[in-house]
Amino acid sequence: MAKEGYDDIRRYKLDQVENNRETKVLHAYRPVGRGAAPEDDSISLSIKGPKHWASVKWRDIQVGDLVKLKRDENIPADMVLLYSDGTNGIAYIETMALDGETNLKSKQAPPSLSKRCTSEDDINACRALVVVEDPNIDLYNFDGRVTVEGETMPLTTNEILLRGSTLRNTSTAIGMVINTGEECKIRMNANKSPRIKSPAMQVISNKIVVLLVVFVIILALFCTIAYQIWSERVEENAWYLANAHVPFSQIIVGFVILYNTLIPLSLYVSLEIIKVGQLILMSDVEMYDPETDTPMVCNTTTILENLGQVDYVFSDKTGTLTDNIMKFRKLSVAGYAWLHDIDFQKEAALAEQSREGINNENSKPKGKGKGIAKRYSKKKTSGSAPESLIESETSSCSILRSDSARTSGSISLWKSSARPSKVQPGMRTEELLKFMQHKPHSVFTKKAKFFLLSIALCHTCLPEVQESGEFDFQAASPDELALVKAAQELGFMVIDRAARSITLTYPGGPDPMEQITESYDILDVIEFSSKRKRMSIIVRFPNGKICIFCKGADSAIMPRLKLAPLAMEKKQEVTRRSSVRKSMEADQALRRLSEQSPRTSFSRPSMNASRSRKSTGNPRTSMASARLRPIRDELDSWLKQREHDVDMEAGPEDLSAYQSPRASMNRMSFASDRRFSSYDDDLDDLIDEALVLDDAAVFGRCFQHIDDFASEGLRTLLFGYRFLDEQEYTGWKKIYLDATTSLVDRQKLIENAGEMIEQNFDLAGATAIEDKLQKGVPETVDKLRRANIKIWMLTGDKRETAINIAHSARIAKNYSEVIILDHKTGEVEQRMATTLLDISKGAIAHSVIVVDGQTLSEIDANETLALLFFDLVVIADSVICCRASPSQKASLVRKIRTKVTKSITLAIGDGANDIAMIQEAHVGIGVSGKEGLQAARISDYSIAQFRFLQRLLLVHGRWNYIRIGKYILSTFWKELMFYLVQAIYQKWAGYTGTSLFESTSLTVFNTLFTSLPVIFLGIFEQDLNASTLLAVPELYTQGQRNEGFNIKKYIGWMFMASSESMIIFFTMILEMHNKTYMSAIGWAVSIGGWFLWTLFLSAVYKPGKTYPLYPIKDGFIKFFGHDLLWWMVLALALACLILFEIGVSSVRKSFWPTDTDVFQALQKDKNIRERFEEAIRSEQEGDDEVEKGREKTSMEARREGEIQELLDRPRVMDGAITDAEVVRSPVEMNESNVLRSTSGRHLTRRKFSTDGHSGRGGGTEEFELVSRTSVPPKTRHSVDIAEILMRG
Amino acid sequence: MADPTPGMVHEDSIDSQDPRHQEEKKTKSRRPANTAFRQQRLKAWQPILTPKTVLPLFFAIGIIFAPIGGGLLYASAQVQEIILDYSNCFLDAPEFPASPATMPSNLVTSHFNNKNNAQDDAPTWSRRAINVTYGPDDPLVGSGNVPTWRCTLEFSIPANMTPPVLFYYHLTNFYQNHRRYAKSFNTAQLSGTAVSAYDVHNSDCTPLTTVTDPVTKKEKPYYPCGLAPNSVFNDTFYSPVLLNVKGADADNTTYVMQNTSNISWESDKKLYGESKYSSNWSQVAVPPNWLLRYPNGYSDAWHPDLVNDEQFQVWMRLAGLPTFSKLTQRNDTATMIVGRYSVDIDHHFNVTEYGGTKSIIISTRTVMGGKNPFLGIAYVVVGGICIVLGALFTVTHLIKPRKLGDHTYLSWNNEAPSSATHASGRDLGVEGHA
Repeated sequence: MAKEGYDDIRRYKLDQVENNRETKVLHAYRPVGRGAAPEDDSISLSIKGPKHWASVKWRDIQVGDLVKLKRDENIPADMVLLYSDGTNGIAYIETMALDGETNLKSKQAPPSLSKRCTSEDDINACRALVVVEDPNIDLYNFDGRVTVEGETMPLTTNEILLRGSTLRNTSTAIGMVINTGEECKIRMNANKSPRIKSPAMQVISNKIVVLLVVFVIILALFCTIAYQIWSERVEENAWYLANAHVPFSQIIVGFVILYNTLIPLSLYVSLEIIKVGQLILMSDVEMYDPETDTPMVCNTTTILENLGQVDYVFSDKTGTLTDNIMKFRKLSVAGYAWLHDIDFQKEAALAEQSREGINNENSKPKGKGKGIAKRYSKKKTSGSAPESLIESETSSCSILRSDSARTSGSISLWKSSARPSKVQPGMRTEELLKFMQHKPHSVFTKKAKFFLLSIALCHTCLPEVQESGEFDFQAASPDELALVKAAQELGFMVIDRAARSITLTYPGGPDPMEQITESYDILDVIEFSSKRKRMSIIVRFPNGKICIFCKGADSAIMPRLKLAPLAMEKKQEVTRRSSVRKSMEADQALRRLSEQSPRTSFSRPSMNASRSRKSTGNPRTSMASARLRPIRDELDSWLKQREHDVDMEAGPEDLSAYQSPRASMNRMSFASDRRFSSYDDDLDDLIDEALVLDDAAVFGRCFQHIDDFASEGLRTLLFGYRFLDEQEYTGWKKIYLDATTSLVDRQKLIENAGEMIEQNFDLAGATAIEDKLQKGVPETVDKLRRANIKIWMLTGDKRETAINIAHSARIAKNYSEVIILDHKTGEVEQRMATTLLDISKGAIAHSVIVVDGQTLSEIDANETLALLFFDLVVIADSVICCRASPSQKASLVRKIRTKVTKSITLAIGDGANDIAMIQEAHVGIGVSGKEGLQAARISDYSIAQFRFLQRLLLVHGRWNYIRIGKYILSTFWKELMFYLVQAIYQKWAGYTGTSLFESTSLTVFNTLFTSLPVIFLGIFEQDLNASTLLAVPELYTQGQRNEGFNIKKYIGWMFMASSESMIIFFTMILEMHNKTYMSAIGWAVSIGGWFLWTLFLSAVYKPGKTYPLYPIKDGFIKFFGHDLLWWMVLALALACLILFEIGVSSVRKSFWPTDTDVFQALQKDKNIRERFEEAIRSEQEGDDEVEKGREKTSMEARREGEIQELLDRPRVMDGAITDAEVVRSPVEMNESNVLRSTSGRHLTRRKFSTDGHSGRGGGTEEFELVSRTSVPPKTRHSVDIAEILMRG
Repeated sequence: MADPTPGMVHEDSIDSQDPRHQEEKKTKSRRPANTAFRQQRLKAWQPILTPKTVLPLFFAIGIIFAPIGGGLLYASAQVQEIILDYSNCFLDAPEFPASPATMPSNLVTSHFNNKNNAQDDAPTWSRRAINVTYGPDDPLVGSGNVPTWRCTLEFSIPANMTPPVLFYYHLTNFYQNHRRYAKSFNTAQLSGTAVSAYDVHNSDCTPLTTVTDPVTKKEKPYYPCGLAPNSVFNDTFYSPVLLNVKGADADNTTYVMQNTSNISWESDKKLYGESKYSSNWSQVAVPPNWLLRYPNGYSDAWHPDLVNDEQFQVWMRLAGLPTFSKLTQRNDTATMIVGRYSVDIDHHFNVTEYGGTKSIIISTRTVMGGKNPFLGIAYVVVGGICIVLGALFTVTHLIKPRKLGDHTYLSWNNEAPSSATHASGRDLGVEGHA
């Protein structure tokens, strides 16, 4: 209770913080008429007194107040925008916290108002009547009107700023408050009365307590009846017991009192203590984010154990899974795809710089066969690489000048989180630039240049010169920003954007250093809308030509291409190919699922392996490790299988047929060429001009690239352009002008006008933007999935974005069947039905249901649809819900919680729009990220990063669950064991209810002797190491299946307890044959290990205060303490108990082991433990490229040793062993150092990852390996040549 | 150089940093303490119980316990004792002057080391009617003649019993642990306080608290009150007498056993005190069962002396089980030599009425206490079980060895076929494997 009170106080304090935030309110007037018309908050502005902007606390804001907002301020209440100093009176707001959408939204004050509200005085002079709708829940619609001087205008969402959003890119905005406090839309969306959360386990323990009550009553009744019988037989005849008969009522009450301690009342008290202890121990440094200085925070302790039983995770997207940072990642131009990873290189360079100081001359190339390594390392050190890197940070153009060594190093540093094993194309944008510079007049260069130009032109960003002289941009959407940034990095820099023109600088001309500055007139901008899915810009080139650039989703642009039919055809081809690949992967995934029956897949061969090893009689020096080796290796391969998802590209040899032949070949050839030939030749080979001119080929490859990009979870955009002649433009311009000035259906007219001009485009190219996931998100998602947790993504964002993110976060896999439910297509029900059928047939390897908010509300409205829907989503592997309002998110969570009653739901989110969902779920987690703390405040637990969720759930959740389970069990156990002895004793006491134990001891048994051991158990128990739990998330399922504490387990423990109490009693009888009562007391007390208590009693009891029934004074010290016999009995009894326990549990563990037992055994082994730790570390490294080189240390060395061992081993025992002996490390896999080592046919091939520029340390060793196993980039090369020939 | 990475640039322009948040950064770090304790990385011993690992334990315990059991058995066997059940002596034994009859053998148990010396002269018993008197001769103060039976048991000691020689009485089916009985005494009264009639009446002594004086019509408390003192074992034991061995000249020698000191425990003694009732004995009543001894009530000359009545104190150390033995007299110095002894017992305590028995035990003692073969047996049995189990485990381990941590036993491996088809059978409520 006190704890909950404390929680409340904490929340109250957090509320206070929110309430006490300040904002500027104009103090000059008194709103009149408030309350006059409660339905419509009709307020007219009147003037009184002096005017000034006063700081007012959020909680004091009232309806009708005029609030002035500065840039990046949070909006304190729902407001009507009156004025904004942005261009055209536009204010940009970010609604991420509100609805999860990442785009900035432009809001425009009603022109008539904004005209009149430019200054304080104007506002005072302005008379307007604002009529708005009642407060309601709908975030996307608004009704109202404003009357200014007789002119009435409608108010729609376009004029409304909602609380929970933030003002962006607009220096000042003034608004009038229309809803405050609980009437704000965001609050209306919130849960009004959040339910009180209680742990799921409590249900069971409560049941057991009830059961125990019944048991006690039965026991008491039984004893009472037995007493009546005994009384008749013995008591009646015993003269010494004359009149000693105990009446019925007394005896039954006596028994109930005697046995009531069976019901552990202390359970609930100690549970609270335990939870506080657990809480303290949960402050894990691994869950501390040093960047934001945020540790994990528990806001409640009541539901700690629920963390160990989560079945569903409902995650927000923005701010939770993603950082909302867009990165330009790839582009495809003229049939060639390029990777843009400058940011990674910078990071790596920085890391290298820091590292270089540390291990300067650490890595001398040694031994033979390191020629390559030597050459490269020399190049690196001798060349000006580091310097140029530094320069490249300062000047965006310096990449062009960078030393050739720059490109020599690595294959891409970036890897797709959706398909980590996919080999990234070797060509990077720097090489593109180099090529353009080298061959400025080739067709390809022209095309590429034009494409880059279109990227630089086709946007609505505004450049801003920072104090440092750098250019920064203001953009409506992070996507655009990423594009403009990328253009800048590639040399096309937007330096100015006046009202109607864009000024660019770009390198050109014969001298690469020379910058050309050009100004392009913007004639028109046809804005992006989610319906159009594209935006266009019409510019006049400096040379007077008019050109329209259009960018948009491929589905929007493709039909508008000049060669649309060809494009369609190519697209279909690509789609077919990818669907073939997808179905193959799905098949493989299905096969794998079905293969996982025990002992068939991988256990057998290893058995053979171990036997054959025995038979060869190859005595190993270290027997222990030899014995464990097969287990280790098996486990290793098994884990790997779990860790790595089906990905066809992992085995390229099977798949080359399905890949775009030219593309793949080209990549390969380039990759190998690059290393072994000089760069000039290289550049010549780079681009095939003939291909560039072949439209069909370009289309085909471009769509292949788009498909690839998309499958990697990147957001793709297609760019088109067309030159217009003056006449066409002027003709269209008229129509467009009409449209923009039209008063009715303006939007529709603009769309139509756009439709007219956006035709017959030429394909400029495609871009791919990565929505940067938070660190470790895909890995966490994978882990959680392995832990049998279903991850749902509920977001307010667009469907395409959501699906993209789902792919890159691996919520959806590349072979997943994505089922989109859309009410617009109208066949929702049928689609759901077929999918349901497919899934239950097992025909779908991985199903992802995508549903949007509107469809969801329609489904909700229809009972049968709703039933079908929930049947479906419950068995689907994942669900993505886009464009969902906060209340929809919450209702989804609630539905699952109520529909799948046994499941525990967890909601995680960071923004105010997630609050309802967080409150609704069994466990609510707030990400205390950048979006402020609204979610973190109301959540049960708050963490700084999504990836901490895996530790929170898999380690702490599970520990807490196990702990509490064991605690409850052992509490019940001790109670039953101790008090059942009493019950048994009754037989020898004539069922008269005499207590076996002295009453004080009896009272303190629970509190003093036995509470501490169970409490410690409840706080400190760790059944498995953290690393084991993280490496094997499957162990988490224990909690989901309620295995930590259930009735079955309870009965088992109680059986043990009763048997043990028998043992205790009968050994005690032994003792009492000969001794008296008191030894029994001391004895029973000592069972709990509390001799101390007896000593204490012996010393404390005064002779005056006597207890003849239980002679205690000095009893322990002087009498039975001295009595050898007594000790012997004690020893015997304890030994019996221990043996009994140990015997039973060891038999159980060996014949019916649980997962925990198995892994307890496994983690004892040092190597396996290292394997686990490695698995975790590799994951951390995987997304922490910067530290990668440093991290791989001892494990790496050990691996290498093992490989060496494998290679050295005589081939006698190949056959069966080979498969089992495959040593593959996820480290290497993740680092894209593909290391395959089997003893026979496979090659050991390694790619240089960071070593190119980072580790001279690690680099040499790996080269050594390459050379030893004689791997051959050469062979590759030759193959490529053959392919080239074929092509020719 | 302002922006180390492009990412940072983006953040600055697009994502607002909560300004308050940045301020907080400057304050002290909220990083949790990175100590082994807080991070739960304390070193721990994690034993894994498998048959293999507990094998040594089993064998060890077996090996330790079996000899201990043997030792205990030996020690127990060293104890020499004779148990004679004389419950029916006052009914069945031949009445004096008829010659003593052999006791039924089921009433006799004896354990002696020296089997060779075993004489065929079985214990005999006889009884005679006597009148005993308690207290001063004055019949107004003392008890006067109380008619009862004196039971004489004759038995042989085939081996010398080394001191201390202990003389117990042994009762069966006597429920000193009856809930009422066990509480039925008044500690204050026993420790000497003159508890008032009112207090006694409301004490645990129920149902034997006070009695209404027929003369004064006043409530008088029993002293001592309660069932437990009332039912004190009041048979009188005399020291055994070594009888004239046939043909020997020596007279009968009494083997003197004292019954007034060192029978009860030091701690028991402290519970009793000189009664304050001694100022006026008439204020208390004699418990019903004590009337035999105090038919005329208490007086200064003849009243219970609980402080020194160790036999009473022993009785009041209540037994936990319905079968118990209580020490009544002992000899700590002299050896009880081989020979035939007779013991006189004055019968007062009726056991047949409630179906119990009473016996005497004359026993020696070892470090392990009295005769108790059970403990030794238990040790041997436990040790034996351990070894058998150990052997069993060894055999199983040899025949069907289990690999350490065999992950093929993992539940999700076994479930895979079913969960493959319904990836979420649990959620469907199928519960095939749960």
